[in-house]
Amino acid sequence: MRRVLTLLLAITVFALMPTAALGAAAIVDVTPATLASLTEDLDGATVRFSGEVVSEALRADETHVWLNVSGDGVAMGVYLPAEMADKVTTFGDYAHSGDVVEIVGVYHEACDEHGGDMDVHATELTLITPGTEREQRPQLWKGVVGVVGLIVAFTQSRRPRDASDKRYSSD
Amino acid sequence: MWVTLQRRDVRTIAHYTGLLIVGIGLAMIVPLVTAVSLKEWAPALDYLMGMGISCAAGMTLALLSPKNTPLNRSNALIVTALAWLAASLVAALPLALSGNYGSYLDALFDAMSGLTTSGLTLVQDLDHLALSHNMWRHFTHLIGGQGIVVAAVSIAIGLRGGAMSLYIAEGRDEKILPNVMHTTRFIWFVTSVYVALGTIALTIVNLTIGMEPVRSGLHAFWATIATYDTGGFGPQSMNALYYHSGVFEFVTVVLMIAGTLNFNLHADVWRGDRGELFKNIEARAWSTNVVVLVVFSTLGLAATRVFTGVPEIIRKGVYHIFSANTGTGHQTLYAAQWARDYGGLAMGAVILAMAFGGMASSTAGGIKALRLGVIFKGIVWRIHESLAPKSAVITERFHHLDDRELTDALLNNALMVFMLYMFTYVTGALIGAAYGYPMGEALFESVSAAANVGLSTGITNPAMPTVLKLVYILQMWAGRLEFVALFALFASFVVSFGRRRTEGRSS
Repeated sequence: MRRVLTLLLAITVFALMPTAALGAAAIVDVTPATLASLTEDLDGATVRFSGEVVSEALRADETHVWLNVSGDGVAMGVYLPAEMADKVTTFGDYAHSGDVVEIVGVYHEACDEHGGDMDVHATELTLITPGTEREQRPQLWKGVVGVVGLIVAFTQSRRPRDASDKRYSSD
Repeated sequence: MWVTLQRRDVRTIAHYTGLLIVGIGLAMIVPLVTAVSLKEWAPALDYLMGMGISCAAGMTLALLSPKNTPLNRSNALIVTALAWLAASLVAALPLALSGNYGSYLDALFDAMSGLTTSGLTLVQDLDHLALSHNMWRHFTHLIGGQGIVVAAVSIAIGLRGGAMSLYIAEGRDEKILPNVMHTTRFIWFVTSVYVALGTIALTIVNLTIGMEPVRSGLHAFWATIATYDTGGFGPQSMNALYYHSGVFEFVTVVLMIAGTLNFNLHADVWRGDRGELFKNIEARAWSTNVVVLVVFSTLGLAATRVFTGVPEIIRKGVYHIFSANTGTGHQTLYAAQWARDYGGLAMGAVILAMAFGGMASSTAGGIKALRLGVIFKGIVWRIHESLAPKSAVITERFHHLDDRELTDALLNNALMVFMLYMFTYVTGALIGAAYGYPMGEALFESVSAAANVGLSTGITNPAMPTVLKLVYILQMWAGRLEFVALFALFASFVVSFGRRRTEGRSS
């Protein structure tokens, strides 16, 4: 009897193991670039990725917004509840590096709800790093070259250019 | 007999090319003002330097010949061909200085792509590019879309002596108004109306989705000129996908159609003659192309089963066929989706749409609907002739602005350009395939470059082989000029160089 019970217990544990393992693997770690490159068949899977927000929260409907999140040089549209997007305060542009966020959500290769666009419907958003200002230092030598060039051009334009000019008589 | 270039010809060509370069330099005022207004000081200096170098180089060249030097037809062809290259070389300067390009060649690629209204891009980190640099990238679509010569003639930068020759050499045949200056101003007037309407409509869309006012307006203006001028650049790496808006897509499709319409048809519609739209062979050929290719595209999309709903199949199918056929190049797909999700039939339809192109005398690229209409009429003509008695004289007529008889000369011209485009498409595809890219994708990219479209399967990227970058630059240049001006340029140099060598040996 003890042997039978042990065997039953072992079978039960063995049978439950794949489920537990599957549960652990249910969230797939990706990057926006791997999603866009279609190298893995992840349509409908729950994915997790991090990246820089490169758009303001763009209104999608009454309750949801879009954030475009960029990682590895590829930006992905993330559809999420408006209040979840409130955590994002800085988006990336010329003057700023945007907030870096971690997104967990369901990936759609061609979303039925959104005109067939590839997107991720987020269930969680975590702010990892707040955005910062990007330093852009002007290089004055460029301005000097430009001004000299314009002076040369202006001087040239004042020179006489009539056909009677002896410069053109050698033709 | 081949005409060789004399020293006087070279000076005349340099004079006009120089004036056009000055024109591009002066156009940099627009991004310079944008940069100063938005306090983007580093890019402001990029444009000051770009302006200085362009104006100094241009004026130096212009001094090689006296003012108002007459320009004959062959020299006009050479100036036109050179103007696109020279304009790209100087337009690339501020882009190369931006730090968002891997090399000057990459910046040149984008400048040529912008001016030829192609839309393929090698920019890096586009989402952090300065607004003023985006202004310049998109402004090149506006300058090139109307034609560099049209742009220069209309602001009268001293091209009076050769304005008409250059205008014709650029491949424009609009005779909307008796005077070339008035015609170019009419072209700008029509463009201004569409740009204003498009900008207003897209600003409203952008404000509605929550973009802040300045960005809304700038994005709307750029999207309008990139669409109306059938360019395809976007200020963000996601291109049209960035906005997640069906209304945005709808407005841009309307602008694409306006952009691909022959300017003569615009003029007819403007004068109230809408009947021309229905009887014109070009309008008929173009609409037939679009309808047939949309059907193929949607059938192909349905077959892949990736897009399951009818509305999304139609939305993706219609948008990309219009984008391809008008030569715009906006896309709402990621590059890898072309091969996998779009499927063979739909991708084939998009390749054909790009290859056929929009209407003549518009900003669209490709073979053009007028030529396809003429070739179709020619086939009917030949079949009719072969079935008729030997003594019968069979003629074929078509309507394009007025009733015309189809002649061998017209048919031969259409077939020649058709063959040159096909040759260019296939050559580019073979070179791409030689670098290891799949043939379908290499053909897609090659057609996109030569037809000045800008859709991409991802081959065009900063890491692509240098030779392929040069091939696509050449294809964009040749496609925009419809070959003849470029051939005239090469032939002139080859013949003149050959004669000089022969003369040198005999002396």
